[in-house]
Amino acid sequence: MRFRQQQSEAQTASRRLLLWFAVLVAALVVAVNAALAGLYKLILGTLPFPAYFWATNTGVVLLLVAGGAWLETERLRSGGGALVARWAGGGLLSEPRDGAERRLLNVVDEMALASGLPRPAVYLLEREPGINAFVAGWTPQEAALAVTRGALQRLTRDELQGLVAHEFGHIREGDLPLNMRLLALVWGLSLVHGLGVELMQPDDEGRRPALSLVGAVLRTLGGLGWLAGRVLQAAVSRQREHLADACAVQFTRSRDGLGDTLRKVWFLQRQPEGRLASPHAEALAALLLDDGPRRRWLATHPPLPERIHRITGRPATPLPAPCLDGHPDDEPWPLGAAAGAAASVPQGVLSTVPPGVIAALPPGALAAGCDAAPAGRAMPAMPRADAPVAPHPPSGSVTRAVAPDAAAAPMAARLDPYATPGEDTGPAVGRLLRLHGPAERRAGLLACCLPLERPARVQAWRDAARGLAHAHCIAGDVAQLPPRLRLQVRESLLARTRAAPSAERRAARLALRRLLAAEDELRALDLLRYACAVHRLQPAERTCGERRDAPSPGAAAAALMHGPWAALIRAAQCDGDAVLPRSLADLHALRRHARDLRRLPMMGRPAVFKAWRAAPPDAGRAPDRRCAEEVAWLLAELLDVPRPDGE
Amino acid sequence: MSTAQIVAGAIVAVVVFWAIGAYNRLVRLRNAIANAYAQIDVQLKRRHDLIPNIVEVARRYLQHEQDTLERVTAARNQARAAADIARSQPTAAGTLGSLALAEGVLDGAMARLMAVVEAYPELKADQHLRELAEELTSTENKVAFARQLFNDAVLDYNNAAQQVPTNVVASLGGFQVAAMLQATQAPAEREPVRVAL
Repeated sequence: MRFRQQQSEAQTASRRLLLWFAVLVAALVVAVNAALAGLYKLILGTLPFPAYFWATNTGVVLLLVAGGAWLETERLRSGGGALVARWAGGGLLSEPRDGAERRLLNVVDEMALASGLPRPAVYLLEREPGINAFVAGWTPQEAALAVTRGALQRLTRDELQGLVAHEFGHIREGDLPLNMRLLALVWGLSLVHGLGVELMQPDDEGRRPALSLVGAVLRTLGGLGWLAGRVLQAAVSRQREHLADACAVQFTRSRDGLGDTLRKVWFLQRQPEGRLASPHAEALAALLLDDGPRRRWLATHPPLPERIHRITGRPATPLPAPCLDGHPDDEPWPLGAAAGAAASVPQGVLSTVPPGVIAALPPGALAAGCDAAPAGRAMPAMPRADAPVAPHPPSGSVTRAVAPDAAAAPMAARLDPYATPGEDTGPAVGRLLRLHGPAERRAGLLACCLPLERPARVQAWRDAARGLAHAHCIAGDVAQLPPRLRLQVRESLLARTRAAPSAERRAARLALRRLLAAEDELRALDLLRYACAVHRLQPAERTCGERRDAPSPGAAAAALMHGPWAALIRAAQCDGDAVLPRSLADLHALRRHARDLRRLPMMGRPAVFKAWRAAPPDAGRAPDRRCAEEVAWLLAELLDVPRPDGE
Repeated sequence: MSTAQIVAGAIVAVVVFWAIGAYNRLVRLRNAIANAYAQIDVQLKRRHDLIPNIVEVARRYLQHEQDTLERVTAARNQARAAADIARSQPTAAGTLGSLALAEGVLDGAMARLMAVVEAYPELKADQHLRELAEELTSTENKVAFARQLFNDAVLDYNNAAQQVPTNVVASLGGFQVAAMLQATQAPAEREPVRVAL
């Protein structure tokens, strides 16, 4: 029978590829040794090689690759399949709620019987309108199978059977541990590259050590090895897909089930709903039924036409995939969640939100945004400060306004109404943006976050920047900046500190707290500045398992206007130098509310911010214009929404 | 001890270990066959339990088709009884044959019932019946897949027991060649149960 032959072919091919992995590691060891020896001869000429030169090079590379792979394996192993499925946005399906879900559970039972494997936990990816599925987990006993809602709606019973049988093929052939081991091995290969990058890091003063040359060698070779590893991993993955396809034919003894499923997937790939909507789709690519067209060498799945041809033995065309069972095509999201969230806001709270805010939110935004990335991750990626030759200009709209050097000056003048005409702040901005050493970057960040206006704080800042030869230059540069430009530089420095290792982030948070505590009395605007900066420096929050308790936009807007933040914001708006009463200085409550804000769906945030801006100012006290503007900027940053324009 | 003795001893040890491994593997494969057979029985029982429910739902609509319903119920009871006998005396001659015959009669009666259902639109639209029909489809599939699993297990076992050199261990250990299940034993069984709703 053909499928048995196909199975053994795919098994042989993937064994051969696994051998290539061993060859790759050996080649990496040889290449690192050769390159370092060449470097040594080039610099030190005729001197003999030091003792243990070869042993050290070989040992370091092997330790990184093997040790990294082992660590990563342990980490991946600890999760279990259920965790991956929940992480992708799946809900456990134990009690079927409608006919389609019952059919899925029945089909899974049938395939468990046909393959002689235990029945995996079944997860439903409720918000995915396309056809896809994956299995995860280390052993067949703890495997989890996730199927999209679109697959239930668009596939007939036989096709669904083919889809599930393909995934059972992955379980039976042991692809789950194999996939994770390869992933871990590739990660180990990337560690060599990482060590090279680490060796090239500048020190506190921004100087690069002589070891950078070794770092450059490791970085180049490690990068090449990593790339080769990924190509090999993808090749193995493609063979395993063919193997799972052949297994599916063995289990169902039908070629058309899986064949038609793949034809429908092919059809849907040309439409927007064909792609997996989960923000984690990229990480899951190797596990899915199909991960969409991509570059040939890195594709984890063989091209669909080739797969269909192998399964059915004849060339195929895409097959339209309408929703069966009377589901209208244009209703991809279950709207229950959004309606429920809006309804759960108490009446009193709702009345404080300007009418139209909640209704104006697109219903899908709530449901879809629940598992959106946390605030920090959605920020435009900042280039790392360790770029070897010249720092790239910061990317993303948030920081484009502060391009370094000459370009910054006219732009700053145009953007900032408070800039004194004729005063040239461009060079200062450029210098501040080129702070590469962790200590100098921290000093700049501190000065930008909490302006050095009073003697006690200046003293505290000097303590924090002790040891930096050019501390006074940094302070002088920051002092030159007009308020809005200072906020922009602050934002850029914050984003770069966020991308730095956690030790540096923690050091920055501690230094900020010390700077705030340097003065006896606490001022409203300072506390707000501090809270926002610390909030940005927190590690990104995990989204897993927290979708249910995301606050509704209405409740969040109400908290901004009535909660502990509200009083603080109002005080800061009116007079930045006002000394705070004790009751407002409750940092814990502030942090708790900030975490709530961070769980808001991304799409709902601008509406919350707009609602806060539209709320009438406190009667009696007129807000100070400059303070009010800074507060608005800080709040926009807190909510991760576009900054308000100058007005 | 001479070198030759050590070498000979080592060879004997390897052969003994291999033989033990091969014997255990054959036992494992033979038990897999028994397990696969038990699965078929479980699914048949499931089908027998499901059929009275379908008859109950259909009875509400099919006042004039009492005859068909009675025939399904009777066939189901006979098949159940035959399965009970087959389970209590699995080795007795003829029990498996009579079970197959009873199952064939049941399939025929179900096919007729489902054909009747086709003619009654309001019955076809009944939510409960649709659910039961899905269950019946699934159970039919499970019976088929259980048989397939049984045959796959038999294939693996026979491959292991007949290939050189394991066949030596198999003949010494008394491992017989197992027989595959034939998909159909009676002409009536070749008729699929129709559940096209």
